[in-house]
Amino acid sequence: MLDKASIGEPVIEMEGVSRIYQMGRVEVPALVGANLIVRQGEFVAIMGPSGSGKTTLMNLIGCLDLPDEGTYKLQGKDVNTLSDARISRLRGEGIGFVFQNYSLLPAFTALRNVQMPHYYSEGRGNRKRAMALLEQVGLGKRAKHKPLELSGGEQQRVAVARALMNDPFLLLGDEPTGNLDSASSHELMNLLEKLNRETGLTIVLVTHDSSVSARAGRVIHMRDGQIVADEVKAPGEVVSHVEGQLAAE
Amino acid sequence: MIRLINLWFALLGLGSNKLRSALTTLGVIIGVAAVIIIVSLGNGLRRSTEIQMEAWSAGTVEIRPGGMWGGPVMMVQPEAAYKEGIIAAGGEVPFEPPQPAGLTLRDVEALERLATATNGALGQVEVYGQVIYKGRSLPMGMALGVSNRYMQVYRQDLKYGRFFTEAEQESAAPVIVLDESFVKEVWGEDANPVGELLRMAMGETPQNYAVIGVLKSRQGMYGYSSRSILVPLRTAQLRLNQQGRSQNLSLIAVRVDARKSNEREYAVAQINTILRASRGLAQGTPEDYMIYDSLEYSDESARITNLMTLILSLIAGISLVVGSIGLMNIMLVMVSERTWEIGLRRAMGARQIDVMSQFLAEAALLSLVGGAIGLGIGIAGSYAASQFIEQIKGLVTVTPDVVGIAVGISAVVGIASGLYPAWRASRLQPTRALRHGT
Ligand SMILES: Nc1ncnc2c1ncn2[C@@H]1O[C@H](COP(=O)(O)OP(=O)(O)OP(=O)(O)O)[C@@H](O)[C@H]1O
Ligand SMILES: [Mg+2]
Repeated sequence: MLDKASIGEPVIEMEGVSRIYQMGRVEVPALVGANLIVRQGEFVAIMGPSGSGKTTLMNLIGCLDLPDEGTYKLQGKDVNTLSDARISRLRGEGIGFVFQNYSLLPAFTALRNVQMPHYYSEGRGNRKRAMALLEQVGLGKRAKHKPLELSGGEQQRVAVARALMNDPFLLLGDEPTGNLDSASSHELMNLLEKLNRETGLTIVLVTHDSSVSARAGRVIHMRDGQIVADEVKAPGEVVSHVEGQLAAE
Repeated sequence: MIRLINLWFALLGLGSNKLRSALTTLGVIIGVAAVIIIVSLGNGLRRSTEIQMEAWSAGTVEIRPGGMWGGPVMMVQPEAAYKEGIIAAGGEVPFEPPQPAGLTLRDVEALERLATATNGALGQVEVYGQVIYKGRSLPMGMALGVSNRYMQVYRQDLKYGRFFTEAEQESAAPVIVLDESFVKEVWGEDANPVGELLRMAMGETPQNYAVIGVLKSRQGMYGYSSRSILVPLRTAQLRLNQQGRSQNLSLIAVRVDARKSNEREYAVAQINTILRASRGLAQGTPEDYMIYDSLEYSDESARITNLMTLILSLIAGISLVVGSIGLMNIMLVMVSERTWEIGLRRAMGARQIDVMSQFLAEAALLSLVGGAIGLGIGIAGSYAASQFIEQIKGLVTVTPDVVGIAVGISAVVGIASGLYPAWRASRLQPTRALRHGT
């Protein structure tokens, strides 16, 4: 259920954020002066040529990395001031990740993979919820399978289930459809779209695929470490999703 | 706060590469087993030396003839014996040619009379010849002539019969006291040969000797003294005389009950002073006898055993170090191979300390499992080895402290070799880690 007061509350607030990699003596400015606000319930796609800094931006958003310059507030908290334990907790409980490949631990069953974030949030794996999430992504029957016994599309859906395990406020995907055929890709996007629409989950995806970005409410374009365009395709539509939901209740 | 769940992750991590885990533990297994075997065998060896020394010497101080002219002289040349007479009085040693003077009963009496730090002195001679029982020649051809202090000085107990009387000593009676182990060899276990006759050809004519007593064997005692035949001192001296040999004592044993080394040193000094006086040695002349403190011997041999154990333990320790370097190497490989896994776990909310504890637990588990197997092999190996080495049979015990050492060592090895790789794992940038996989 969506609380009306929280609609449009900023989840991601970046101000002049830069990330400069140090390669020996060479400095690689992978991200330069990024300003970005993403609000609760948005579905954002990030596009851009290879090496333009998309993954760098995603890593910063996901608190897997810290900015060298500028401030980044996640849910109002400045991540640069947080301890490793606090950041890890924020990551584990507040953010779900779906990566392009190797998203799952090969030694564990699909079910165990889904349970995993719960173990790290000091939980006991909440098997019931993990099972329900697998059902939700249509893989209830594959719970006992190891990742290698699943197709690429199925693996990514398990990864989505896992990302949802701790009921995050933000879902991040770095080219989650990058290795999928168009049918599987379509299926995964349906799932994400549904999540965004029905639960108001904020989603940020990196993609090269225009058919994927076409389904996002907002597309950010990057080049040479900079955000060069921020296109809110159909602002009314995003709002109408939310309103449609509110009306339904 | 450290989460226990990481232990489970560590177990699963090891389980997913069983062969490598097994091979890694091998180094620890060998090291721990080697340490246990060496320490246990060393302990067994020390025990055996202690028992032997304790039994053999029972804390006596022994004086043997000898001195600056050479080692102990057991048998004096017939010519010399001739010159010396039955009892060569101290101080009357012929200066030319230089011969060590024999120890005499006078010296024993002087010690008995004057020494305060001792508890009884005994004179002993050795007679060689044939011993025959029921027409069969026995393998031991030696009798020890001992004075009546024997029982007191060596702390012996009787099993059967009695020891010599003063009258038997005085009259050089043909009576013998045997050791239990001798009896066992000739008559069998627990036989009582008191009243039997042994024929001994030790003088001019073979003579029958009556067995009047049997001594209890001292545990761990072996060697010539336990298998020898005891006769009264005078009896033996008479035979030596018949053989044309010196009747001088080949040994004086003095009981010193003190166990502290300064007390023993005092007793030895006192013995020396008394002997010098009784032998009439002028100031500045060297002693013509040697004093051995048997406990000092055992101290010395214990030191040698300890040193040997220490050196061997060091070698075993080196194999442990090699094992732990191997373990660290594998852990580093695992960390770099699983960089991506680490990144993924971090993305799922694992803290640095979670990653660190998982890898540390993996190293500790490998090491502890290796330590446990090594402990088993070490215990089995120690007992097996003790079966083949006669001297330490039944003396090898794997004591709790050895087990403690093994567990401690493997825990230390595990933590020492796991700490750095685990720390490295925990410091990996999650982004770097994830990039690795893609
Ligand atoms: N750890 C790093 N050390 C040094 N340079 C890096 C590092 N990570 C990224 N870079 C560089 O930063 C720039 C941006 O990289 P990034 O991975 O963000 O690009 P991207 O947009 O995700 O590209 P792609 O579409 O190929 O995934 C690139 O030039 C890259 O080489
Ligand atoms: Mg990228």
